[in-house]
Amino acid sequence: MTQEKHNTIKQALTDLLGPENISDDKAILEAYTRDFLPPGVLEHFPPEFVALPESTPEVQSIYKLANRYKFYCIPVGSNLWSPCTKATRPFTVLLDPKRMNRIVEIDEKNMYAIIEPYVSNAQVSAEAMKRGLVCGSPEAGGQASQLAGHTFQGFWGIGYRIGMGYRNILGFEWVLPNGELLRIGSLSQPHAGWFCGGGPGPDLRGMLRGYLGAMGGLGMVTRMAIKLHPWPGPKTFPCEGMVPNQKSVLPPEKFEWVLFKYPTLEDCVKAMYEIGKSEIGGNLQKWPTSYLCWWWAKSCEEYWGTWKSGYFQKNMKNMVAVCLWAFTSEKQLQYEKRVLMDIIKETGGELISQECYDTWVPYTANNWIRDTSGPRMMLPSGSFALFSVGPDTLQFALESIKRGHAFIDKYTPPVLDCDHSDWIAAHEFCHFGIGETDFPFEKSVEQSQNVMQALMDFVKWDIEHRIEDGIGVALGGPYHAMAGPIYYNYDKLLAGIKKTLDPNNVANPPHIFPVE
Amino acid sequence: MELPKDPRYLRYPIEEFDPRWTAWNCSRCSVCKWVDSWRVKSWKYARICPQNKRYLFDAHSGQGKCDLALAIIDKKMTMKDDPTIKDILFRCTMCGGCDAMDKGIRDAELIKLFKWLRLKYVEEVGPIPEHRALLDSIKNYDNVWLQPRSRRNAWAKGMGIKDLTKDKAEVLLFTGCTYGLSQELQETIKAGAKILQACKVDFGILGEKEICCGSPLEKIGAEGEFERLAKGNVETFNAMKVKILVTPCAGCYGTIGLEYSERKLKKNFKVLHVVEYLEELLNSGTLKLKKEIPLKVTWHDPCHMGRLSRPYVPGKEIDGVYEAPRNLLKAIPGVELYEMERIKEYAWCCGGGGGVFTGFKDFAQWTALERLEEAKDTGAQAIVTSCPWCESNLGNAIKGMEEKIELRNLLDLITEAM
Repeated sequence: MTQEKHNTIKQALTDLLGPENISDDKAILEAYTRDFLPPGVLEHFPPEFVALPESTPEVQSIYKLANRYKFYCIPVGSNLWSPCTKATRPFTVLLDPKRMNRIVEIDEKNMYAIIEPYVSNAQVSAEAMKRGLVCGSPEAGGQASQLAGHTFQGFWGIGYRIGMGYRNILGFEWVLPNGELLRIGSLSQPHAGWFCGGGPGPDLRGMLRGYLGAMGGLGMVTRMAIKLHPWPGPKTFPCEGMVPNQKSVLPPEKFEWVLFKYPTLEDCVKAMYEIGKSEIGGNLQKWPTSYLCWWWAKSCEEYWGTWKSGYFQKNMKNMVAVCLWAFTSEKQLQYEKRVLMDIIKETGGELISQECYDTWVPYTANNWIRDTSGPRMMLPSGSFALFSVGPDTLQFALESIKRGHAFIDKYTPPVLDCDHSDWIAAHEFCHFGIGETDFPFEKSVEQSQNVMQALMDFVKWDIEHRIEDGIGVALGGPYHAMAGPIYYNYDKLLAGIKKTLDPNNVANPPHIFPVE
Repeated sequence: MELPKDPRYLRYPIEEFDPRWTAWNCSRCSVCKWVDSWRVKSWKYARICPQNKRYLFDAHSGQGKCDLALAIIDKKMTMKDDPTIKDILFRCTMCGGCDAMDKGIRDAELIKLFKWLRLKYVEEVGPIPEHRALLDSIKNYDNVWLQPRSRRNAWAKGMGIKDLTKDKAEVLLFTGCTYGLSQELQETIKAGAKILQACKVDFGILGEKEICCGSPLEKIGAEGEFERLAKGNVETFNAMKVKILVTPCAGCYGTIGLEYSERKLKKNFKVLHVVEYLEELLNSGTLKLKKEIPLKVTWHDPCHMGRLSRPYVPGKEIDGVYEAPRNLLKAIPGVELYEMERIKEYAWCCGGGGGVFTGFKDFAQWTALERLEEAKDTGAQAIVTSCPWCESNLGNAIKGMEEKIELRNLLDLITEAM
């Protein structure tokens, strides 16, 4: 019966996609079973098939087949973060979008790009920059999927101005779990194009986005128009040197990174609020010392040697970074610099030393315009995790971080030394922020189990105290079932949406809700 | 301060390669599939891995091979479980693109892992049928082209070059199997010899006694046979008391220069690619390039004289012979150099390495065509390189193109300019 069902599905997918675009070979499937996070380390469950659709109609057909033959579909991007997009049950088909890799169009005048799922952040960034435009690029890296970053996190360096990923979604094509195609926004109207993501009627983008999105639990987005933004910089991203020791220096008359520090984290947040209110700058971040070392160190020996010396901890803790952009003119940058220096002075800040600046900025800071060394986060110990994300106001992010600190103290080890240092990223001129305390931990089976336990304890603590620090949501459907009744029964809303759009529960169960 | 307990996280164990460690610490970031993000200049030329771009499934990538290695080492699979394993392991040009990009974000040696996997495959399953002819050729003829040994120095006939089996010289010109035996490419090695003669370099060749450096064997999992050749070669070269071994073949350069050292074979001579040596002659004023060649060119960086030519030091630049050819080209009057988007340590492979040229011609050609497109997009009239495998594979691909680009070897251009 099992083999018969497998053969039936295989034949159907082969007839649809061609034999070279579907695989159930053991060796092929093995490459879709793990990543660096604890679930990827602890669980090993290959999918039944990996499929390579090329177009929206092919994706639609796959979902229709899924409903007919009762198999499950999980769309993936670059598959970097896969705890909720790995197979967990038999008859799961992973939809690998590598053949859906086109930048369909870039509308320079109206500043948007229409992209497919397997277009990387760096590809969009490169094409946009040629045209005087820029897109967001997360620390997941330039090699990760730009489309996925709009439906999952999308915490970008320039999010300070442009908001998170989901704030930048215009029209898109959404293949629903039943295989129907839903065109969102202006795309729903003939000849209206892609320029608007809202309507008609209620904004359906809300169902797909949010800080971690639907994780494939409501089907697959196959094309999306994303906002691009003005870029006063060069047409080619500047880079010199050689991997892994490259430098990137933007034209100083058009871009200037200013780094300054404070005695406490609270002081940093106060300053960030003031900067947000002034609406100056293109980037505003408060980086943890662990990040500074992660991106900068080019080997694990260099990381731990520098970390043990305390170089970043002593010189750059509680450091805020602003990148000023000459959006309209060099005079604008000069004006904004004066405003920023006033704010620094008024809030009791101190510029970091030139030596620290020269050591760090040219080699790493521009990651927050186009990232290249984000994946170095796994360099020190093979993996990292975090206790808080705090996607809310900056003030909430600050409080979330403190809760995360308590758990870091409780769970060291397996948590390795991270200086209790935190990432606070302002979005939309400080209307929104996140606060993370990332920590390295040794990527072993035992420590992954310990970290998993610690994370679950944190989630349970949050639920008991009716607080949402952003980690539970990363568990997806099972978390919503647990937490929903505590938080105004939102689980019923999610369950209703899931049952309506995915009546046969084929779209990556148990996300967005375990209707079973 | 809570630190990792495993000392390998505090310092990468460079002295003792551990395949499981390399595979285990793959984080699935996909950096191995793409050009370094800071270097991406367009949508079109953003990929680094020919295998993944062509075959799409993640198994066909550095990351995929890490997953496969882990499954094999942890006994979740064996090499015989799935015939696809052969394609995953051997439809890879071993260009080192993934290896170089991966070194940008972690301490790892992907190419070493791939060699370990191939070796293990050959031990457990046997050499793949596509490589049998190559193995037999080296075993029976000491070269990769099924040519009799006596033909090895046919190219040098009448040139008056010293035979170092009978004579002495400071410099050994090691031709390599392909330049030495290929009818199509012999003019290149002749050009190289003429340049050295014109510069009055005291050099000689091994002639019929020259045997394969072993590079193809090392790439296709025939480690035992490779070590036999390597040891024999080093003994021969040391016995000749040459000071410098100069070769025009990037494969031989990377193999003799780096891989022999990795096997702890002590060389009493320096190894230079002929391009490096000629740059020294140019800088000393010995080599003079006077004749104008009005030509727009682009330089293709061969992997084995680039990112695969230097020992790995965690955190250090992925260096190679990048500047010497560029300096030589710029020194030729009339030549204008236009760079492709993917160059140096992030260059796109020609498609000819890793046994792919011999075993998987369709994939080799597919890879070459992408490189030639990239060359044409620079506006250059000619793509220039200095590796016989690159020349052969790119040359074959050009034949099938409607709008062709010229293929030149740097030695030919230098000869013309002298």
